[in-house]
Amino acid sequence: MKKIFLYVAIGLTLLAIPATVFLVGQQQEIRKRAAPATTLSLSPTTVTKEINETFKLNVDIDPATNQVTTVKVYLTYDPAVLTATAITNGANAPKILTSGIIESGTASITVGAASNAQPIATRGTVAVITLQAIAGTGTATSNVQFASNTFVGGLNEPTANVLVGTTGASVTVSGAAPSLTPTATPSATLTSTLTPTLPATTSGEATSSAIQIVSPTANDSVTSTSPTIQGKAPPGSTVTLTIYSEPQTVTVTVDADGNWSYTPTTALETGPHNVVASVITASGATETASTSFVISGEEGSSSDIPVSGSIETTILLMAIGIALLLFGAIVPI
Amino acid sequence: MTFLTQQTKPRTVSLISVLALLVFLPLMLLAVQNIAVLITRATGTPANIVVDTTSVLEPIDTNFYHAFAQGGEESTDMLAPVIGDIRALRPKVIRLDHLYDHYDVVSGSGGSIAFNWTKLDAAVNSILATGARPILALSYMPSSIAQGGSVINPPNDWNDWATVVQRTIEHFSGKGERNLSGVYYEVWNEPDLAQFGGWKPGGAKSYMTLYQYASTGARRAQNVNTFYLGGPSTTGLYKTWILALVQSGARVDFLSWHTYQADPIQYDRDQRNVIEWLLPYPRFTLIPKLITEFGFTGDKSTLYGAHYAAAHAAAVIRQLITGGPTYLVSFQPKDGPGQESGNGWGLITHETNGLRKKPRYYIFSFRRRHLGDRLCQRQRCRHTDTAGEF
Repeated sequence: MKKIFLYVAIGLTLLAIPATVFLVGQQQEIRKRAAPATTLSLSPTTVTKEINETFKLNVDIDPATNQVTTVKVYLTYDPAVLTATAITNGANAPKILTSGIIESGTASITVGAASNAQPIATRGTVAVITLQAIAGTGTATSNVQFASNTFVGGLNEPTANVLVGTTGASVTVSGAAPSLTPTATPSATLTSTLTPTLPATTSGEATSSAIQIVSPTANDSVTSTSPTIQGKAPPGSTVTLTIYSEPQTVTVTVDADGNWSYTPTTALETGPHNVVASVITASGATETASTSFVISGEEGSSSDIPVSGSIETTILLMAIGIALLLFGAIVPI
Repeated sequence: MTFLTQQTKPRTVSLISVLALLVFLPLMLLAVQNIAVLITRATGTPANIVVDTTSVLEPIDTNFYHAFAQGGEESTDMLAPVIGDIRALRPKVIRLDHLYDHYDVVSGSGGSIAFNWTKLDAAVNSILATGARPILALSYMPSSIAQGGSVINPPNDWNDWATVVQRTIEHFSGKGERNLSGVYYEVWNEPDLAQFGGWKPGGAKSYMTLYQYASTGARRAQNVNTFYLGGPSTTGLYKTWILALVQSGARVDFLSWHTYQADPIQYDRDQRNVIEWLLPYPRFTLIPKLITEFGFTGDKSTLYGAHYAAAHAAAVIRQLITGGPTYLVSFQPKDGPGQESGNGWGLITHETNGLRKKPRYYIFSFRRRHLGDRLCQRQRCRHTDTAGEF
């Protein structure tokens, strides 16, 4: 009889090991899903047109594992080459939360999913911009790209902004290029500050990004209303920072060691804030990193935002469960 | 013979005449040109409007502005005499406030609290008879449970307030009672206004406490259809109120505020602001936003009886035709009594003043003409702060 119970106990233990491995793996998957991983891209990525021709670019989203509710699209282009005539929502974002605004060199719109119960969880088009070529580019191309204040809101994520990368489009317009004026366009200014070896980001993995926010880390609680935001990016490049919820956009230059930092000159309100940092690569792609933090306003106050679970907790609970199981199986002996 | 011709030689006279002509001819030409400009301006020039039918934008939803809020200038069922006229406007929602101080709903307190729905049911029945769903502004504090008996004070016991809200929801949304679906319950009306209590988003007389206990009542409601609880129903869109509510942890199904602004573009700015504030709170960006009262001024004005009010309503609707709120609620369907001068907010005059339809009434009968896809008016579909067209 004792042998039978012993065999049962050993059998249960052997079963518990793969079960533990499986559950820990699931926990890791949940943590992976909890990471911002959404990318936005323009399609087609290359366009060739004649002067006065009109064409459309789709703003496509790949939410990866995120559940997206809101997409604030902010596009920039060279107004000497292109003019936008309309911007509206796409099929994957049935709600227009703020109507499109078109100004010289910029076009923006904020769109949303049907509801929180039906978030954007599949690839598709969230917005469509209509452009007209008004001047030739010669042998060069003109970029349409996402500005740093582009924002993608996701449900149940450690940071509100789940956007990790964008890819713009290159437009070639047949005909002579317009003569350069002393005031450069925004895209020209930003591109000129980049090192030419940066790869374009098409993945949501934060580790592959050329830009990182080192501090504050996700869900940090800080007491200062002017916390220093620090990070890393290619030396010499220009990082554009946007701080929400009262949007403040600034640019900082990365030092020779690849470090950058910024301390808000205007005090932030207490409560949660999001920071989006972006840098534009030589290929025109924008790489972004984001974090969120809470200004508690009090010493020692903890964050209001719950953190996700840890693997250690799961392993500990599993071990206790197995121990209790074995104890229950062995005690009758 | 003039004095000049008598005293001077003919050659001199001719010379002076030529010089005078040379001086006055260009002046006369300039004057004629100015007159021509003035005449052209006065007669107007046909606008060169080019609509690009190949550039189709989003479908137009006309439901959002077929929404009305009846105020409480009389403690009776004010809509009853105008049901047919309002039904003709195909309203989607109609808002009612003064629930607990005009319709004798609540009596007693604590364990002896009692409810009589007779009068309020009649008012809600009138709303339903127009084809609309009710938006019920949970206001004000029933005097039987209020501190000092004042309807703008907090209750003696917050649990009584929670019970009042619970029973209101169970009565109208309860499957065993009125069985209505999709009712909006808005916590209070203009809480920031002194005459309605001067509540604050925090502190001693906190709207958030009022809301939290309303949320508790909503949570306790049993066997009910889908309903929506929201607020803060302030006199304007205020960031501190909106953020305090979304950070409160209470149930918030919709956000609401009032706008009494003459500038139509302000309505668009408000929409952009509220979405911008909510970006860090992705769970709230998609919930309905309701402007539960709007007009060009919160004061009574004879302009409410003029074409100006109609033009204002049309201009505001144009600003919000895309990217607008779930409902833009016009205040109000019918005038109160004693407004023979035409200064009431109503679309229709009071029965003591002939039940006449004012110009603003006819804006809302355009519904069928507005249906379809939005097209791009060349150079004007660029929506900027300076574009005020409609």
